[in-house]
Amino acid sequence: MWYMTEEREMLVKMLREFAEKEIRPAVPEMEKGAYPRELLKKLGQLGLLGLVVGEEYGGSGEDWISYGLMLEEFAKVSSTFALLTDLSSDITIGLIHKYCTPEQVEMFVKPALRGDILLSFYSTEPCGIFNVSEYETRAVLDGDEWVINGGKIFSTNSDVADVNIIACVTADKVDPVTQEGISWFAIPASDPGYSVGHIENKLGWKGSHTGQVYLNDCRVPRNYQIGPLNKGVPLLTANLVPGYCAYGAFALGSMEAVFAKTKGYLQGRIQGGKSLWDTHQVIRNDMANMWILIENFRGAVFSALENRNRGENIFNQAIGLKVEGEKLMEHVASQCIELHGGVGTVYETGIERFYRDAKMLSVGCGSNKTLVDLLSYFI
Amino acid sequence: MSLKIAVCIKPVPDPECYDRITIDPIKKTLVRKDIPSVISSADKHALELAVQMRERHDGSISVFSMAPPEARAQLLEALAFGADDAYLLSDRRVGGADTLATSYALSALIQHVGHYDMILLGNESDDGATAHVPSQLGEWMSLPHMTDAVGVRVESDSAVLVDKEFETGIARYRVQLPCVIAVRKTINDVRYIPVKNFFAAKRKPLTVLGADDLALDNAYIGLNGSPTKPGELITPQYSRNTVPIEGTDEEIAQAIIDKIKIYM
Repeated sequence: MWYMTEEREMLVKMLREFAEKEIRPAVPEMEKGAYPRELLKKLGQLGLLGLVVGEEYGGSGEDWISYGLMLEEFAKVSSTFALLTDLSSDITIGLIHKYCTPEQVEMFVKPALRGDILLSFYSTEPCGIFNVSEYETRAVLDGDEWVINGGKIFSTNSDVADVNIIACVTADKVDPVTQEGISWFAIPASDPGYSVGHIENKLGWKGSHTGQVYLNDCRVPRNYQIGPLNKGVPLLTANLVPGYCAYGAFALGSMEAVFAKTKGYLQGRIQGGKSLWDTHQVIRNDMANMWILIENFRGAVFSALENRNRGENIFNQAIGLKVEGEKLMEHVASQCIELHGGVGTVYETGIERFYRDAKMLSVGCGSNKTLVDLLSYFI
Repeated sequence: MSLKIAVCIKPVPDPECYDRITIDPIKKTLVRKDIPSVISSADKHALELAVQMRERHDGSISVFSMAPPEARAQLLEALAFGADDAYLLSDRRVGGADTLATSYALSALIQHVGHYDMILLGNESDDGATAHVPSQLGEWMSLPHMTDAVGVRVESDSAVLVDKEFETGIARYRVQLPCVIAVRKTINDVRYIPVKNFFAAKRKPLTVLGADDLALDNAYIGLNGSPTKPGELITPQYSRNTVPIEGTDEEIAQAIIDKIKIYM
């Protein structure tokens, strides 16, 4: 592929080995809801959590294509683990590191990059993720401490993170036009006012814990406020949205995995002395059509990642990748289940979880319907 | 004590692609076109040992291989793993070599580059699995050599203690330095390569040499220097001839025993 270099070939080889030896054995437990904390720590020790974080912040200082390759390889084994990797790297560290003071880099960024602490990052309230003007979680400065009250929903990593990066209202009112009035705070899970409520039993991404968080008089030092005061929304939109290209990478990996598994099954499943692959043109056509979709999507994913490497604005492309990635992943997984016949619906076959995880992409980290509406303003 | 360590690695066909490998019926060699290569698994354990020894004792690690030019990828990987420099002997004249000719060429390559305290390699490769090369290398270089190592510890400036595994147990040997040690895969767990190493590997020296760069005796290299010749290639025929056995349970059991005895 045009984007492969000798270095990336070596990286991919290591990632594949890690995925097969470390992630695959953990999948059954993740599907029962276990959070793979030790594996994520290993990623930190290998420098993988900081692939796109500059060396001056403690990262590996590499590039977005390498990042995409990592998520693609992990998603071939577990879409859930690919998501958790993204959550532990770009969605948390990647979002905040440039806004952190040197002191905050030492307190939060570098330990998170090493895998010593786990960060979470969330803002969703019952009003929705992007309706920031209706947020009710509020931080008030009391001397040298911020006092935070409120709550969040669909907060991923809420029960496992050591430090939670949370959006709070810090102005009297959030301006509905400029969206000024939101700021970000690092709230340790050990704060007496921080408590976790119900963890949702979701359709997919089982190993990712998402639930409610209650903030009752949480008190954090003044220097735990991250980024410019009242101007926290760009941190969300300017970084979170381009990060959707990562979702494209792990949708791609998942599709490749179910496609390969299905092709192997069809070529090995013998009926009447011949394989299904050889005897059913319809099956081969279905697979060929899926191959076209997957390979075209691959081009789109790595094109966006290369554009991001070049510093180009990929806001629109990234939304497209999340939206299209979910549709394709759902379609491919659905087709592959059918092509397996009855065994496709059986958990142990290893296909159905990709179908369930695909649906999560339609709503995780921003509903695709909202994103398409957002995109319509920019095209 | 600072150690200068040499590690020999062999690129072998990727086990993931074994179902695609064919054999040339005339040359009786593997057809490796379009089959990707990887570092032979036992050699990776040798590399891991080398890195561990350097972490404990300081020093340097050089990697050596005799292989086609494409083996550059495996040498880069070894550099990313932690080797300081790499040397590849790549020349058609050394191609088609059996283990004797391979070990001769490797010994010439290593001695051309320099003197090493320890030469490490895997006990046997994933493809040929003869386990000849380590001992042959030691003999060509007139060095003490030990195979089946499951533990290696530096005792002094002049000796290492090597735990050698036999079928019935483990024996510890004191081996004078410099020496050749072949390791078993059970000696250690191979670490994952940290990300930054992949992108730094190309900055390390990787030298490709031809037969003319070394003082090689043509009688000992390539097909000329290979006393081992492949024999006849036979594809086993797998078919089953089902013969029902009837009778009482005791009669059936006796009939089965009688059949087995024919093949004992």
